[in-house]
Amino acid sequence: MERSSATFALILLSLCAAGCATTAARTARDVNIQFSSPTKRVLLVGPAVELSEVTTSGEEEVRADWTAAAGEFIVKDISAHFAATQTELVIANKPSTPREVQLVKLQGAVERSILDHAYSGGRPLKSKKGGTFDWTLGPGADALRQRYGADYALFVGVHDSYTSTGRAVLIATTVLFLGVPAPGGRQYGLASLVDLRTGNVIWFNELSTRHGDLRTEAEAQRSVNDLLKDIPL
Amino acid sequence: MRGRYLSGLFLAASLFNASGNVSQAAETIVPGYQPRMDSDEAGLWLEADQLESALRQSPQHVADEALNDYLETLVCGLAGAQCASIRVLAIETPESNAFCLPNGTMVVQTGLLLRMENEAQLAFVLGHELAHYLKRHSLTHHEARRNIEGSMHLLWMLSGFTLLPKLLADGWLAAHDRDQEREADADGFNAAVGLGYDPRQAEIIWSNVEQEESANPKRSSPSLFLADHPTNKERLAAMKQRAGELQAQMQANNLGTEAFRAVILPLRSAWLEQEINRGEFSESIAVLQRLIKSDPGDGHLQYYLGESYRRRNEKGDNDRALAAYRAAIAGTNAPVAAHRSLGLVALKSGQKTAAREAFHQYLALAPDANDRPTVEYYLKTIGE
Repeated sequence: MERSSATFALILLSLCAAGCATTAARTARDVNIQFSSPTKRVLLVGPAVELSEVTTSGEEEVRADWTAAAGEFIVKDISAHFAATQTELVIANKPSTPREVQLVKLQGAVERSILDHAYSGGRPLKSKKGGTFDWTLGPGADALRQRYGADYALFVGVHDSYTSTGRAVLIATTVLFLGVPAPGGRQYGLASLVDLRTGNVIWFNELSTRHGDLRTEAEAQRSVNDLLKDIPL
Repeated sequence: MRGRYLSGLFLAASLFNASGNVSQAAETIVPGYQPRMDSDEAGLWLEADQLESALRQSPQHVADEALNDYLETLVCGLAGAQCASIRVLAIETPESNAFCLPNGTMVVQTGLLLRMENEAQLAFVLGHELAHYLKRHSLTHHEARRNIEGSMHLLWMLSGFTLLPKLLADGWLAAHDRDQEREADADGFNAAVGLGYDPRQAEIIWSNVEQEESANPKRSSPSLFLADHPTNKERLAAMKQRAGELQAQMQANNLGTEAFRAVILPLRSAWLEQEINRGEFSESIAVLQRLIKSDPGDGHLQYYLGESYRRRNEKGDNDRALAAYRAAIAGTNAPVAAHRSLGLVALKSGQKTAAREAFHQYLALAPDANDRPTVEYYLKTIGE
């Protein structure tokens, strides 16, 4: 019994060593932030937020009330971040024209490619050897600049799940009988900053943690700070 | 010791599986209904809103105004007082289905529209899907599933990962779903007949489905224990009985064939192309043969029947394909490609003269065709 507790503690520790490292930001080379007008304007696309509860059997059940609350906290915290540098934030909740829809879908595709090829565990591309981070949506992104008068766009998506009581009981059971915990809730977020003149992704961040709580204002602020860590704006 | 753990934990799990916000046994939705933000249902609606918006932005969303107006009007009639809560989305896919999301989005797939013979049949299907929405079946299904799976998950683990608890849970849930289907069948039937649609059309839908599925020897039917829908045969029999009972009482005989065809026929050829590209040629042949009964002179239908035979390529299919292409060319609006396909199959069957004639006809009708060099090459191989 003693031995298995010690093993469990070790496993937890090793899980934490891997899982508690929360962010992994990447920045393109030679980033030179320049605004074309004295009103420094940044477009926020989304944020796409979804909060859910992990059921006993491990499925994620979307919670509308938590999602709505977290969405408000996140917008507020991002606005505060830019207000601190006298940058005006314009929010585009939903793309309205087919062109914008395509750009948002393209951003999603580029984001998946970045995760697939530029992050640990991914397959590096031969064309991107040497550690340069050069990803782009292409000059078509200028359509968003024309529409909103913003030189940069920040795309944000956050997914957060919480262990239900039933799941907690199940996790305790797996620890007792198998010595390892079944997975519970998890927070995951992605943010990319795009120069709308060129379409280039100039900064990208992945946040992944088993801690944090976007349902409360203070914790949400901490998560947004982590998500925007090292953003060059 | 272990036994106490087992029963204690199982009890705890079943108590906690249901989160604090379980809605009471779902009642029928009322007009203007909005779920409470902290309910399970609000979560389902949020997911449905996201799916609805993705479908609206999808290239598969059919923009045809006449079709959308037609479907809106039909669904509105079936929904009665709930009309304002329902939005219809036509989605281009060869899959034959329709479903209503928990937020009131009715999704109608073009594979279904291709198979329906008249408005009455469509009304029975959409009435059924509407009943799922009005009775909030997705919510009760969701909660039933969460509760049974939660309890069974724990039992499954504690029983040393034996299959039995999972199998029991799946079987129980499937039975629950079949009951929902039966209820939706009954409600949908009543809604459509209430609007004057011919009650006999409901059973025809199921005999058509049965005919199409049995044409495919590879299709496996789900086990009775795990099927989440009642069998086609059961549904056919139930519809037949309902229609029989009603026929004596009322004069419901509206088919709505003309209105239906006016909207569907102009769009049908694109759907036919997708239908045969599913690669289930025996099923497509069953569908096309049925459609041809109503429109024997339709060159498009005959052409795609020929294509299904050509691509299925079983014994005797060459001759069947040739007959279908000839019927297509003799009919109205046959695509020019019917001549090319006729040439190809004639060539394959060793009928050089017929092949030559068909290829020439194709090139005469489509002088700028992209595949002109290919067709000329074929002509060369048969001695020109």
